[in-house]
Amino acid sequence: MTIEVGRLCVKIAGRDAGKECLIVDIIDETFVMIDGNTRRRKCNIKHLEVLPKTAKLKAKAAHEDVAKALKDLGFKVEAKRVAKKPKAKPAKSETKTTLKERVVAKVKKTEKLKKEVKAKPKAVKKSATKPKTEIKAKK
Amino acid sequence: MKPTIQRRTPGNRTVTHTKPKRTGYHECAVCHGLLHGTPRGTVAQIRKMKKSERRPTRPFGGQLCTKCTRNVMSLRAQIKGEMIKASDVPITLRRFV
Repeated sequence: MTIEVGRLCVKIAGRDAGKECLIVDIIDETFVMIDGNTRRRKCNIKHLEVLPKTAKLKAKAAHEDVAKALKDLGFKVEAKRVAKKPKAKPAKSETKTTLKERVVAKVKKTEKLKKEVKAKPKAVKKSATKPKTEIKAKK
Repeated sequence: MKPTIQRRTPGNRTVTHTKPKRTGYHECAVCHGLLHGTPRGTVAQIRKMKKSERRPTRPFGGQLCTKCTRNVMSLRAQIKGEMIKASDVPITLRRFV
């Protein structure tokens, strides 16, 4: 079987072993570019098992086109995992506050709490109004 | 038997120090060749290691050697591509294919 663009292969070696791929580009006599269920990467021909099926593909086709072609050949295509972007940290100048600012903020907070406590009415004790339960005398 | 060493203490006593036994060499399940990338140490040492440090990260890593994995994978592919039948697979590899 000839090695050509669009040829269906299965990777034999490495962590992608056993996964289907299509040849996307021929680099030289020993290396080809592959894509599909494997990672898109350069690969030695010795690490591929070439299968008789082929798909119509342009050289250096994008991953979406390769996935489509693989689906047409009757293979399930695994969705590629996309790495999550780390949340941007706020700049140091934004987070830095002076000691004076921190003290003023604390004083304001305590004053606010004091006002809230003063504004609340005192709760009346309920237990004072309730009659005490009588204890039965022992015979 | 655990490996032991004879030692003389400062109080002029001879004592035996024992060490826990190390695991054996790991070998391929098909051809019994030695496996690469598998550690050899005591059970406690190996349990402390990370999963990626204990075996190669490929299918059948730590179970089959590279030659046998390639054989298995190519046979699987050939069956998938309808080039051979499952009955054509050699008996030694049949449980992996």
